[in-house]
Amino acid sequence: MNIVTADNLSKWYGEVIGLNQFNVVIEAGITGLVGPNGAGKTTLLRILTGLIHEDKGHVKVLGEPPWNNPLLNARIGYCPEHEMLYPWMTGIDFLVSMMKMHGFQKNESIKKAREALKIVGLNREDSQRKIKGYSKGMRQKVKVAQAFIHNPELLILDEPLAGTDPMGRKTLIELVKKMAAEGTHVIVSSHVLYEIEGLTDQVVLIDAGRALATGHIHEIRGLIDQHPHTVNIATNDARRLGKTLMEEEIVLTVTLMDESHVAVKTHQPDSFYQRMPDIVVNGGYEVYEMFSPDDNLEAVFRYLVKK
Amino acid sequence: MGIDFQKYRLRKSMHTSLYQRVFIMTKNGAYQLFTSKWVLALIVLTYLVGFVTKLLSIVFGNSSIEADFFYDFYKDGQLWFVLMAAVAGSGIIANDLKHHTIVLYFIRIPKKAYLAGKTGIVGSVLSVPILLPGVLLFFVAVVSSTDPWNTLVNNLWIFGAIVIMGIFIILLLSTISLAISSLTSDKRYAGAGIFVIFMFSDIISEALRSFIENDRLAMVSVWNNVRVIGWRLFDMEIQYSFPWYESIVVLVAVFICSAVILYWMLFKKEVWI
Repeated sequence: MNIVTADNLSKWYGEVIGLNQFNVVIEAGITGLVGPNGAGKTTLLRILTGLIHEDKGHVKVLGEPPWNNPLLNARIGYCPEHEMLYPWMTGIDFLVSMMKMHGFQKNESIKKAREALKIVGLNREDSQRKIKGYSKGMRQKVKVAQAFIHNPELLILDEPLAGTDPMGRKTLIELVKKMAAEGTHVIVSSHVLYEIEGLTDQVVLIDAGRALATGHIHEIRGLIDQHPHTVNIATNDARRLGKTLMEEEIVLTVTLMDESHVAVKTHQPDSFYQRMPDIVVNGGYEVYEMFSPDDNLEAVFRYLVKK
Repeated sequence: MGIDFQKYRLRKSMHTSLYQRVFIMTKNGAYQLFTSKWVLALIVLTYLVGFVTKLLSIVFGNSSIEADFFYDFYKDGQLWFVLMAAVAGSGIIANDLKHHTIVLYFIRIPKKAYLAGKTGIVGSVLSVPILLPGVLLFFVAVVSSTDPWNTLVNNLWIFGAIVIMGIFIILLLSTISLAISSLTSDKRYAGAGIFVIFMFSDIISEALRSFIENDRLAMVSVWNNVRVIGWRLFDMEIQYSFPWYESIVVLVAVFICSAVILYWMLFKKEVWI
């Protein structure tokens, strides 16, 4: 099922391009929207929520066009990047009023608001204080809570982890995963790549208003196989292992990091991983750790934007 | 069928209609304004200046019900009504723009429902110092008369004029307040704008008329046109040479301008906050 389909989507702000012939198909589950600041992430999310209109192209969210579509909006939960709370209201009152705007009755609104605040980790005492006295992290929690409180089909989170403490971050990541497991589709944007890695493998890489790559992180990795794939190995004898690896055809370069670490570059990572057990057993090496920093989104992104 | 593939979720909790949601929005917004010390202070002042003095003249004046007495209530209170609109109406949309909460409304309710709710807030708050005291004065005057029933029946048209005039002023002030408030995220500017539109147009009109002796220049002032409508409603002599319906045309133009601003700012303009 396609949650979002964007076809040649373009958006200009005067002479500045927000989105440039953006094409994407986002499927069910959690999808990370990753790109640097100014890449077009927020523009895309605002088009998806119907807050702004595309200048060119077509977009459908849950099968419907989002612009001026209140019926679709009722099925979406949106957590904007910017703060959007009334400072004179208490956290619980704010959520209750938002629930009422969704059409829930008073008692249910209060019940749901309390549940939501508990889920995001805002205690009852804090929830009854005025928002103007909240820390940035507490405000962020209320902001996220208002997005999912009405049990939307699609949750759109724009930089939701910004300003949260490690504990709050963990809570939010778990919450998003739990909601996805219960059937809510989630689109989450971030310019901090490791945040997305903790949430999902399904990513859309965006830069300069274009979708650079879409899909599973490993699929995206496959797209960039023309770039060297680095594997770091921690071993008892890095020098000797490095020498052995240099003899392999699939290895491009070997870099001795120190006496116990060696970095290998290859164009054929799958073949390399298949060969490694034989090399280790035949050479009598002890390998403590083997990992590819290239599997990290940061590296993938760097390759794709050629930075 | 997996929940991922269901088109709509079961929403047992969505009991309230859009009208109810608009009502809730109006109720909450009005409550918030009525608990504001500035709004409360203005309401008290408006009552002290307009209502209480008129009430005392009814109770102790021993006068019969006259249309111009009630017309004067609206005429004398115009400065306070504008102040009330500037204080209560200035932040009505500007605050949502400032705190970015307009996004949260637009994703929950249709834009026309948002506009209806906001109009309800300003309208209900303005009705307390404008419509309510006018109606109360009429009934006090009826009760204070020697023959209340006949007084009521004979002067029912005055009651109608009071209600229509009150609603007209409320609608005018509300529409202009909403339009000005949608133009800025700073309610101080919006408040100043509302005040300037009403009071400055009065000053300009008087200044122009002092240089050019033409009655039609009175139409430059928003309040002059409201006064003309009042004279017509309360069956009083119109003190300008132009017919009353020309004032209606001017005020309809003001309504249309405000509506166009609101339509542009809320329905056509993209939310960039």
